[in-house]
Amino acid sequence: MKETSKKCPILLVEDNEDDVMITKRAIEEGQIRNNLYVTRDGEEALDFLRRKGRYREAPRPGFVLLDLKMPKLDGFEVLREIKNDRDLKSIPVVVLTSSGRDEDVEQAYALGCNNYIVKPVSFEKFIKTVTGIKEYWLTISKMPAN
Amino acid sequence: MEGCSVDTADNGREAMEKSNAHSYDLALLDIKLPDTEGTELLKAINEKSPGMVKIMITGYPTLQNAVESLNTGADAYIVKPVQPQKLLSIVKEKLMEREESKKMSLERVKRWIVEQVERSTCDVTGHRKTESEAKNLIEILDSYNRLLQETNRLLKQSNADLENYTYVVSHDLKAPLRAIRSFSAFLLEDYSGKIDERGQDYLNRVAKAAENMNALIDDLLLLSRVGRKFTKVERVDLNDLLEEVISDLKPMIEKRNSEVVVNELPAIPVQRTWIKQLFMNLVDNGLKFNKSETPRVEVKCSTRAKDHLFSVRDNGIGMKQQYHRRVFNLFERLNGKEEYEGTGAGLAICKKVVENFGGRIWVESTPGNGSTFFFTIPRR
Repeated sequence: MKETSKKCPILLVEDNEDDVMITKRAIEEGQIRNNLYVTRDGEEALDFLRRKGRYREAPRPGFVLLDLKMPKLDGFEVLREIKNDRDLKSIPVVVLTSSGRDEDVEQAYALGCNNYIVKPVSFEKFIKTVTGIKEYWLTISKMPAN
Repeated sequence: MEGCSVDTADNGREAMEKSNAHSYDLALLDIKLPDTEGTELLKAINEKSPGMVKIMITGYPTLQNAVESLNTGADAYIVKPVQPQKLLSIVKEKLMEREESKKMSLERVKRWIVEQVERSTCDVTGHRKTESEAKNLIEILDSYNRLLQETNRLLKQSNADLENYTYVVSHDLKAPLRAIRSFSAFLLEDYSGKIDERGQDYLNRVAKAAENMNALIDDLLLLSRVGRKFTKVERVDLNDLLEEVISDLKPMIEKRNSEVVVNELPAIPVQRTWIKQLFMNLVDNGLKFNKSETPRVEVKCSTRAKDHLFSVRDNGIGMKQQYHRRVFNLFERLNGKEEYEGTGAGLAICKKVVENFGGRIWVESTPGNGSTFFFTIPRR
């Protein structure tokens, strides 16, 4: 179980370059060795998950880290697409966002997100958050085999 | 009126043509026009020149007319028969107001209404009014009342909009802040050998400032959350609640050898999150702004006919009379940041919570003799 989950890739859907760099570094410093893929907007994310266009060879991620505010398709729409897609809906989606707005939290859970996490402002906490996510989704949880 | 020229238009079309060609300070509009509804014309004029004073005149005062006129940008709503003196005073007043500020404050609307009402009642005592005139007067009062209610509603709406705005913006401020903190941390981590002591001090200051800003944003967020939905009213036993507050503050209480005394408190229907926040802030303040060997905070309540009166008394540093109101201002700090930690939002949050409950909050205090914070919560 541990061996397979270690290999399962993570998809980060994030348009803010700063946050991409910060998340990458947090993953590195949190000793998470899973492959990290990044898509920069919602459309790209769905292409990746559905292996369309240049993502024909893309792997199926173990879970998705999803930002909410993005150009083109935003996080809510991506979430809705994933959870309405028979093939994709078993992939856990962790919303990772700056917004702790009550409305956003409520809407994300209503659309079927598995976890809602507000990005901490301090980097030390960010590392803890990311390792926490990893612990939960890659070690503790038993996921369906694809 | 001196220095004024008046132009007239017989119908809506002519009025639009003229107001397109000239720039007017004020428009008097009849609500019934031969070719269009007065409110339609008002809408068109308001779109073109929102700064113009617009006064609606009607022989048929209805709630719908009044609300519609106000919503479409009318500055006043006058019911026929129009008395020239009255009209003149309204016109003058409205033009003056426009000079002072483009926005009409609620206070001014209120004052204006009171003046109108006083003027009308003077007429009643001055000479005997016919029944229809009296009826007209009642209608005028009625429409003023509705106008006031409508203004109130609009104000509430704009207040809510503003709060929502603060809420959204505060969340958006977090992302750049995270970047500032993270990248300054990366610099310190990766390049510490290459940055001299002074450079490291600068970077540490950047990180510290970002941390302070984060605390400020968190408090702004908290403040704008008070009164939003998502918190329901439930029956809360305040004795249990205070036990919770004390347990949350335990590290601080033990460190300073403090004591929090809670007298018998009632159980009341209230939003739990906010009443806890309120007591938390008040008890915390009482212990924090305190130089006594044994800081002490006492919580009491007396239940009166219409409300519960709570008091939170401390033996802390106290404050001068001149600060008794100011302490409730947002980010107001009476003491140096070095001496007492915090953003200065705590009491502003308390005030907003209490006012949201429909109560009042105030402080009685003298320097050196501690402070007592009082607040009321209406009984339901």
